[in-house]
Amino acid sequence: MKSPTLPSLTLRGPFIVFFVGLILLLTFGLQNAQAENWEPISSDKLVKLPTKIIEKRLEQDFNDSPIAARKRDIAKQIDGKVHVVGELKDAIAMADEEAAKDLKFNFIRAKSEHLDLLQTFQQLRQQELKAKQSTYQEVLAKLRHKAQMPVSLTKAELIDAQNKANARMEKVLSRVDSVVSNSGYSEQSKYATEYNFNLKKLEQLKQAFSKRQGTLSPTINGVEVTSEEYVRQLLMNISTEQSLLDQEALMLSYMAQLVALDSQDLEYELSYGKDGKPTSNTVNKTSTSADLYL
Amino acid sequence: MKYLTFLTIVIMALGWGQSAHAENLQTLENLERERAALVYAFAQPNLSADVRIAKIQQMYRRIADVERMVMRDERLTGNENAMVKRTFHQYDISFLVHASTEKNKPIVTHWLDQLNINTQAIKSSHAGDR
Repeated sequence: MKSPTLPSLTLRGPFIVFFVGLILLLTFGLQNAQAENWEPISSDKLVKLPTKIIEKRLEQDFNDSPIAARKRDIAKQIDGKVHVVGELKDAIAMADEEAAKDLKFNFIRAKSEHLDLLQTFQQLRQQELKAKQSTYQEVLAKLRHKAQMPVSLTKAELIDAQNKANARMEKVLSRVDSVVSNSGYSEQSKYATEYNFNLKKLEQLKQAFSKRQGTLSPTINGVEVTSEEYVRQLLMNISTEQSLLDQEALMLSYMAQLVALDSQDLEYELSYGKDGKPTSNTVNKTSTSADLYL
Repeated sequence: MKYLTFLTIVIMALGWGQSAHAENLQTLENLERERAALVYAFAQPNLSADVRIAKIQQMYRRIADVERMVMRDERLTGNENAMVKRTFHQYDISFLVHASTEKNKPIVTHWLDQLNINTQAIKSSHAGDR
């Protein structure tokens, strides 16, 4: 007699393997995604920094991230690939007809790999700019919130009363001092003497601080600006880079089409003995690499 | 057990809050003490006029210093504690030394004026149950 559990066991086997595989795939996929992600330093921390330092701190945070390491690695690979493409191009020019066919094949393959690297590099730059943009937006929102934080009416009244009281007291300080000196005290109190001494030192420190503060205060084209203006400018810079990146993406698509046409030409040449057109040039930036595909 | 832990945390927080509060208002509390001593010197019945004046003069410089300490205390700026509010909203009675000098009056006269105690008021007063 058949055991009733057997069929279900045989059915369950593949399912278990499938689910375990799926879980492993998801876990490794997630780990890879996390490894390439960059979670920028919190905007709360950035807001507390002098405005001029915000950009440098964010850049430093990015440079320490896995995505920056990957970007550096890809940039190196692009440099290497550009070198290979250049060498192949020169070799094709000097090779005889038969050898040139093999070299052209390698040339197209190298260009295709170069293109893949450029595309990955561009994706990483887009990811970086997106993260920076959202961080700057948060910083800007926090700066605005800080500037518009309402003060309660009673607190405002109290501060007003304190300012008025201070002004009233300031007016009579010297008169009180003369009353004190006329009442038989030959010298000022310990508090008054030390306060005046410290006040002079404080003034010196304040001056030194304002000089240093000047070097820390944000400037655009040498003109001192507010923190808000400075962060707005940083956001503008990011948008500029993004639009240039979009333009480069268009360039990449044309380059890819040209590689496809090159391979088609080579295919025709191999099949029909027709002459193919070799391509050119070097460098890792998309715009400068475009010449390779012309 | 949970209640005990909760209570301990609350008590610690309260204790910390009070010590922080006391630390914030220390200069103001000093002023209050000095003011109380000054008012006591005004009102002490068994002092002769010379001794009273000498005592007040002796306190004058110290109170002037404490009043300035309060005015310069950044911890009190915008502090919404009732004591702070009262002090700054009633400048004339809080900063007796500086306010009396501003009004060119002896400190005792200034204090009595602020409390609306004058010869006429004293004469028109009568003893009786409240």
